[in-house]
This record gives sequence, C-alpha cells and structure tokens, in this order.
Amino acid sequence: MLKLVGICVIFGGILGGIVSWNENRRMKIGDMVLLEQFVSHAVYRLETEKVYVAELLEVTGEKSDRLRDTFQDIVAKMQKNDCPFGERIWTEVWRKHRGEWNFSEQFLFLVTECAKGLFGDNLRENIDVLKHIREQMQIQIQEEKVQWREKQKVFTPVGILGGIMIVIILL
Amino acid sequence: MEFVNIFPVRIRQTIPKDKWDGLEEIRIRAKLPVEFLYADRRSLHFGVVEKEEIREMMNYLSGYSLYAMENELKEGFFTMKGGHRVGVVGRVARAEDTPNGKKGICGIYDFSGLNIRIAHERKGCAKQLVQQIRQGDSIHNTLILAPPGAGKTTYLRDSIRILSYGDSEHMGLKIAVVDERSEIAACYQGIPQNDLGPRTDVLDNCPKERGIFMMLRSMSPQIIAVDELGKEEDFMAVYQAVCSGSRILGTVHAQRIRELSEKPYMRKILEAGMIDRFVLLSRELDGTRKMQIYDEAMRRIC
Repeated sequence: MLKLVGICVIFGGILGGIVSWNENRRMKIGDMVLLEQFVSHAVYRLETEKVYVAELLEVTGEKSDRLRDTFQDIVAKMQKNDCPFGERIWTEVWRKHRGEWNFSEQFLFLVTECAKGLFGDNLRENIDVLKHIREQMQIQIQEEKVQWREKQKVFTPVGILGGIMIVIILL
Repeated sequence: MEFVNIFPVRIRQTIPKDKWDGLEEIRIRAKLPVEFLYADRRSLHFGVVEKEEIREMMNYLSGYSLYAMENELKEGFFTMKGGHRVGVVGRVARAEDTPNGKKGICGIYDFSGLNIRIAHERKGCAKQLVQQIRQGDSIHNTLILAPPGAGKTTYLRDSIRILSYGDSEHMGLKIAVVDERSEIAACYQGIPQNDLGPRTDVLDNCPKERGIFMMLRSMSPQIIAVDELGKEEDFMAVYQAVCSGSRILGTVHAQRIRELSEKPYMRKILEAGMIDRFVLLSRELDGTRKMQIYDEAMRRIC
C-alpha cells in the first residue's frame, strides 16, 4: 500500500513538474504575444489617428489586468508632469513591474525600446521604430515557441522515464 | 491653477501665488524671465527658463505626444487643455515648395519660445449682441469684425452658447461650428472644453470650406458658426451655406467697416447683400470692449 502511494506521489510530482513547466512557458509566450499585440495596435493607431500616448495606454491596457496596472502606472506618472522625458518614465515603470512579467531580459529590452517609438517627435520615425521592434518581438516569440517544442520533446519522455526508474529502484 | 504644472519643476517654485487673476498671456522665452501679461497691460517677470526647459514644457503641454501635434506645429500654434492657444517659435524646418509656389513648412524644432493665450469664457458678454442680431426664430447673417486681441472669438463663442440654449422667449437653435483652429469649442482630444450649449455640433480642426459643406450635408444646421473668415474658399462656402438656407455667424479681421470692401473676396459677399448685420468690436486702453452694430446698408443701429 505504501509503495503504491509512493509510486503515485512520484508520478504526480513528475507530471506536476511537467505541467508547471509547460504552463510557465505558455505564460511567458502569452506575455510576449500580449506586448507584441500592443505594439501592433500602437502602430495602427499612430498611422490612422496620431493617437496620444496616454489614450493609447488607457485603451490597450484593458486587454489584461497586469497590462492595465503597468500602463496606469505610466499614465499616472505622465500626468504628474515632473519628469522631462517620457522615455524615462516608460523605462522606469517597466523595470519596476519586471517581476510581474514572464519574459526574458532580451524581450524586456525590446519593451523598453518601445519608448523611442512612443515618445519621439516625428510620427513617421515613431511608426518605423515600432514596426522594427514588432518584427524583433515576433522573431523572439517564434524562437521561444520553437525552443518550447524542442524542450517538450525532451523533457516529457525524460521525466516519465525518470519517474519509472525511480519507481523501479524503490520497488 | 492648471498652468502651474506645465512649467518645468525648477520654475514652479518661483511662480508667484495668487497672480493668476486677470492673466491674459504667459510668454516664455529661452534664457529670459517668464512674463505674465494682464488685461490692464501690467506685466510680471520671474524665473529664467532654459532652452531645454522649453522642450520640457512642450512635453507637458502635449502629454508627451509631440508627434500628434505635427500639423498644428506647422501652423505655429496648438490648443492645450482648457482651450488656451499656445504659440510656438523656434527653428522652422522647410519642405519643398508647394505646387502653388508657396514655401512649405515641415515643422518647428529647437523651440525657443512659447506664448500661451489664456482663453476666457465670458458668459453673458454677447447678450446685447444676440438681441440685435435675432430675426424671428433665427438670426440675421452676421459678421463680427475686430482686430486681433479684441475678443471676436470670445463674443462668437458666447453668441453660440446663448443661441443654442435659447431663453423663455426664443427656442434654442441648432448650431454647427466649424472650429478650424480649435479656439471656439477648444476641443481637447475631441472633447469641447467650452460651453457652447446643448444644440451645438462641433467639427474640430477641419478646414472651414470643407467643414461648412460637411455640416450642411449631415447636420441640418440652422446656423453655421465659423471664426476668422479670410480665404476665397471660406467665402465661397459661406455663400453656399446662405443659399442653402442656413444663417451665418462668423468673424473677420478688420479695424473698420470700410476695410471689408477692400478685401477682394468680401466684395462679392457685400454686393450680393448676403450679410445683414456687422458687429464692430474694439478694445479700449483699460481692457474693456466697445461694440458697434451696423445693418446691411452699413447704417449704425447700436
């Protein structure tokens, strides 16, 4: 009986680990896709209606609670009018909220670079910068997806085999 | 006061408190003191603004979205929240000459100065004017004439408000406002900052000649209100509007009535007898305004 319980615990732990790892990767890619969609939306709104940054952030932030919190923080700091540069506000807030997001330092760099496209003086340049950042984000998302699939192919069977071996050893 | 936060952080501490009453203009020039100008011609100086700080102010004024004001900056001014007009000077970037031979402007960079004209809603100032231009359930076609700074836009705005609300003796009228320079309604991100009444529709930032036609086709206005008529296209659009049955309430730059006949495009309008009332505004030395009203034959009636 004890052995049976032990086997179940071991397999449960391994499965839980695999599911948790999968979930983490899914969330990481989800966060990256969310930001990529924001950049796409920003490009569209800038091209069609030269939207103000505050309005863009307020509308786009409704897509997710975390995005709303981060963007609300940015808008609140902008409205205080005590920082001469919008880029500085953007970068500082993203660094502050870093822990709530599941993306890599590389991707965070792209997110902070968005400031050049959101707070520049020239509309055309802003759009070009954001388009370039969007392309880089799409590349990183694609790489992340490929890595996930590759690792899944390895981790899942290794995890299961490892669990079987532990069970055999214990038995 | 809403203007304190547009100043750089360093300058805010030097702004004298309780000096906002009667303020008409705030002038900021690089490496010179900030200047407050009042209606009674007094001025107040304080602080010295650096060139980088003017750039900082532009960020605050534009909500960190200077790119969104590219078109306005080409004209040399934009409207901030509250309806106040901000004139901008600096280095102009020139574009290729336009097909009609005019010099093109890309925008203004290296900002070196700002002039903030404080918008004042003087509710009730146009009460007498409106009484004189009423005609039955509508109004006479009316032009308000004045030199810059005399209050044309203020009187136009209040006239629109009074006519839109109506009163115990007159129904409110449907008024279409073509606000090319965002000074009448002072829309900020699409929302009018001034009270123009409940029956007023505003087309913001739209060229007058296009806007008048758009309003005629879509909003069935009883009155079309426009500010600073000057180009031939403006007057052609006015002509069409009057022929369509709408009344016109507009403003024109002029110091005297006879200046109207010197403007080439105005002559046609005058010869056609389209305008029934001319309101001449002037500003006295103590800041008060004087109003003279003339009928279609240029006879003074008030």
